[in-house]
Amino acid sequence: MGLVLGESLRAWWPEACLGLGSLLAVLLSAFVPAKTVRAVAWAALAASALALWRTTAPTPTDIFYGVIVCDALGLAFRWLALGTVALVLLMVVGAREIEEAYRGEAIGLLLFVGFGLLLLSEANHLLMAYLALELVSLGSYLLVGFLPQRRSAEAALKYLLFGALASGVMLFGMSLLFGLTGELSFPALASSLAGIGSPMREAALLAALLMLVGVAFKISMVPFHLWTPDVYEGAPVAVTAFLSVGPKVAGLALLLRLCEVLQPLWPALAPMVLGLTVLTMTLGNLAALTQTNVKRLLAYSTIAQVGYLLIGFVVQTPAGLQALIVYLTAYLFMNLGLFACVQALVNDTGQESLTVFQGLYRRAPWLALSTALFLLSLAGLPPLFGFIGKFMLFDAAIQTGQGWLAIAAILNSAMAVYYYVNIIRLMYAAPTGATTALRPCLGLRVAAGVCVAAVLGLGLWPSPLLARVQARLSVEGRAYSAIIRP
Amino acid sequence: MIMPQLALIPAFPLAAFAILILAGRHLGRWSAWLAIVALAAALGLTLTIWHAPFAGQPLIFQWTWLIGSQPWLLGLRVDGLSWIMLVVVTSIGSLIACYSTGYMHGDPRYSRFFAYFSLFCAAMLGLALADNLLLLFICWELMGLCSYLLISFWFEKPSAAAAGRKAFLTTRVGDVGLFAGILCLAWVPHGSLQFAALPVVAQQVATPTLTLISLLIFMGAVGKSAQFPLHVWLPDAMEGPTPVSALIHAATMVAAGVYLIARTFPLFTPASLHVVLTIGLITHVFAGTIALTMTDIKRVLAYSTLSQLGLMVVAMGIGAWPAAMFHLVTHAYFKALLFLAAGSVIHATHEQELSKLGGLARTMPITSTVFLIASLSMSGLVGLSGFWSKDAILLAARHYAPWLFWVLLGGAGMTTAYIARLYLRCFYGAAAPHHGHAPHESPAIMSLPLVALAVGAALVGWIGSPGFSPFFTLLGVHEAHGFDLPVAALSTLALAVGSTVAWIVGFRRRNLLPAFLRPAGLALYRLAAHKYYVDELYQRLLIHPVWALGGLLSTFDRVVVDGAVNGSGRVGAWASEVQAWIDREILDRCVNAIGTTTRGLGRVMRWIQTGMVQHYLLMAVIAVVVLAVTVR
Repeated sequence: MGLVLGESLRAWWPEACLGLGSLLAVLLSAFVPAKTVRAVAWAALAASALALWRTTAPTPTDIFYGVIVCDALGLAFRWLALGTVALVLLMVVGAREIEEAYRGEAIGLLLFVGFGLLLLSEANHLLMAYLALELVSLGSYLLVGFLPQRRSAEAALKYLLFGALASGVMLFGMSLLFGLTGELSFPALASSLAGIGSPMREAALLAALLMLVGVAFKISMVPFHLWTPDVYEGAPVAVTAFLSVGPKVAGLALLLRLCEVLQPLWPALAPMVLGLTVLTMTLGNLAALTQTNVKRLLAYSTIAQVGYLLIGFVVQTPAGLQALIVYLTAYLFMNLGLFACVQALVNDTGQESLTVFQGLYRRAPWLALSTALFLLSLAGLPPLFGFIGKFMLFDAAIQTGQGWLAIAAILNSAMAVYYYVNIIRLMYAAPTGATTALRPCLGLRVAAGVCVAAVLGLGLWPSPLLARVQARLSVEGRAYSAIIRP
Repeated sequence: MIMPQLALIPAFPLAAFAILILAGRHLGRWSAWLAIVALAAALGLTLTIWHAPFAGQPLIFQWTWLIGSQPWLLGLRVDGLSWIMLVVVTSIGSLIACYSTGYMHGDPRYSRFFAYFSLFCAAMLGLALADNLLLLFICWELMGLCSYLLISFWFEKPSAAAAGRKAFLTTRVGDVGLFAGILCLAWVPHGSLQFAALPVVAQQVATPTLTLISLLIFMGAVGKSAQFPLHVWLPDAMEGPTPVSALIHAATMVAAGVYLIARTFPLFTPASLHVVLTIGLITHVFAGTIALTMTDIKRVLAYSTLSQLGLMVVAMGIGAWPAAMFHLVTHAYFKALLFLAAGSVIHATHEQELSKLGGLARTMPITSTVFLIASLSMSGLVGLSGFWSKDAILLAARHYAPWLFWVLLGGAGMTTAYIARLYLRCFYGAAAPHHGHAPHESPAIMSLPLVALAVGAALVGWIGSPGFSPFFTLLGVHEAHGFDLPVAALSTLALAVGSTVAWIVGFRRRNLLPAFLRPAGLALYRLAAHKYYVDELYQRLLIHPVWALGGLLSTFDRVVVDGAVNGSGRVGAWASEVQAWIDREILDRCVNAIGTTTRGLGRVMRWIQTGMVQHYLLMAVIAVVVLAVTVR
């Protein structure tokens, strides 16, 4: 028993570092200035990243008595989670709207949420998954309400209420599933469900649906996306940035694992998920067309992007999974980079309407250029990273004979080009009011710089990453079947 | 042999472009030197890899760009053909960049000029290095963009802006063909975009398909190399700064079409080669006659370029692609020199009308000498570069068909006539009266590149001369053609006749025609001087109809489309009324129902204006129920 715990702890260094770091940061923030908390946070992140770097987990290992699994999928998602937290940390530090006195707290909470993301991406047990999801959600509720303004509190309340509903629905589904099978761990659940008979099957289907609703809320999938624009609009920019990537990463990880568990029920669920995928991207893009607030626009853009990401999930092939991971990586960089640029603008103007982009080219040429790159990448234009990911997603859809799904996604992408390029038009062609030079702070410049490098570099030279993803995530015929062992 | 350094060759000018476009304003006159150093570095790197192309081993640098259902390879590849292009572009490019420091001196957009210049060079080098049609096409379009930006560089002048637009749109017609050709080649069974695979593709694809593909590719070449009937943009492109005309519209970019044909030569079938030959011959003769009548220095040179490109395309059409490439190289040197010398004249006198020039040989000795060398080289004086390349084409023509040989010989005489006329009227005769200061020789930074290019224009042909032909070794062609005395004698005769005619008719202004033929001669002259009315024809047949169609379409827009939009607007309004009704009658009732069940709470919630989130939650619950009902 001691041996199991010892081994588990050894494989658990990344989480331990980040968890302890977050506790320390929250504690310290009461006594010391934000700068020190920041240093602690960076140290914790660096330690966690180092530990993750040393983790070699191509073969799935159960740790902590099977509550957590270390595998290639979890490794990829943990890297994505850490990257998100690091980039958002840069933004939180550079956000002028967050008061200096509370900045330390914000950093601590961010680390907590990051800890939750790590747990969620490797959960192998319903209870663990639920706890991790709640950890992410609770931290996010607090972060959303971080501004003194009324709209921020309102957004936090909306998020909390909607989140509570989703959480309750999900928990109900989980309890149903437990009642049906008497199991909580994913592999055991999967084997129980494999032999489930007719009357019980309908109940299991309902349970599966209710659990999927919880995840759908997290990743803002239509029709559980209603909270997204309001919450994004009310939250501080840096938190919005986090919400647009972090929970999506974690939610997709959980979705992939749940889908593995629910494999026997998948044929019944597939048409619904497929329909909702198309609906998600279409509604997101349609609504984004007429937005005038940049955060609302990006909220709908996020919904649309989640729609594209879900293609990689619904096709249920290794190629789809690889495409999902690659596009998620691209999405992380381009969306967070874009939010870093928005943060710089909001710091300067204090406004969030699209008009702040007007004539940005003259005020800050580098900022305008980076923003344009991120937008073009989001729109999926070659040779940027976003194109690579989208190409792989569409390719995966075509390979499985779902050409119409690819066509729907391509039509959607074409529609999205309008509102992305519209911002570029505003920056470069519209007359400007203010002409003073705009200089973002160091943190934001670093964040945007890293994202530009990734979007350009991985766009021109994606093959090393693609080869790695391919090698890691196609262990057997179905990529993630490695999670379950008989 | 794999060699990642190849990527550095276009990367140097590309980096120069990036620096100049972003920080050019702070660099001032150093921006020129940045561009020159970048090009010189590319030249140096090109020269250091000479051994591999000579040994017949291609240097390759390939990377997988995308891994889809099949991997997409992008790559760079240097073989003899591309190495030659690299040397031509980098050597002429760096000399012209040096020259431009003097020519563009004092221009308000000095660094911008060198930024575009560097981007063009990067694109052209990328084109020469590309190992597949896709990368080639990307660079091809990038060059088109640079050409547009540089032609309309002085966009304050309406004529320059219009010329840039015309060039861009006209070449676009050809590019559509090229793109269609690339798509066909990619989708046809056994197709491939890799140049190395083209000979195999040519064996496996059916001949009619191959003819179609090669003609589509040739369409791209027709646009870029300004062949009849898409030649109209090139003379207008002379609105750009003269160094640009020299580099882009004489030496390199316009020759890219010829390079493209050479690259994809295995795809060309006898039928498509006939088309190539016809188009080339028409352009050669027809542009030559126009050049005889033009009175603007740069326009004479532009039509001369058209005519020479036509000659290269003719050589392609008879299958003598090595000879065509040879002429491309020698032409690049002497034509760049001619343009730069003309630029020197324009720089000194601020005139480019022949009637306002004359007698410059005394005041501008260097310019006059190098112009003479370049003219003689182009006319094909024995021993100079142009002679060897033209000789190679003439020989090939004689093997192909005697009539073609005689036509080309006539063309050679015509070439001599127009260039001699230009030279004599510009540099000899009475000095034209000048306003303001007297003309003077250009500064050293401009004349040194002229001298260097003159050496090239005189001697570069020796690399392909009979007996000593590293050029053809590079291209992998080993059939050394001998020195054919009758052909050499005949072409010298053509030179003599051409220059005599130029002296008597062009310079002395004597009309040699007998009286009864004079009206016909005058009519012909008028026809050529008006460029055979091709522009007017396009105006009448294409532009007016398109405008008329545009008017028609806008009427259609107003009447039908707007009607449809308004109609759908009305439908939308109706739908939203329905929706509002559903909202009012169904959703609100549901909300109210929940409100009554939660008694006072619901009323309080609505009262403090948080009804919205209730709405959301309700929607979510309804969604769950609906989904639960649908999932079976």
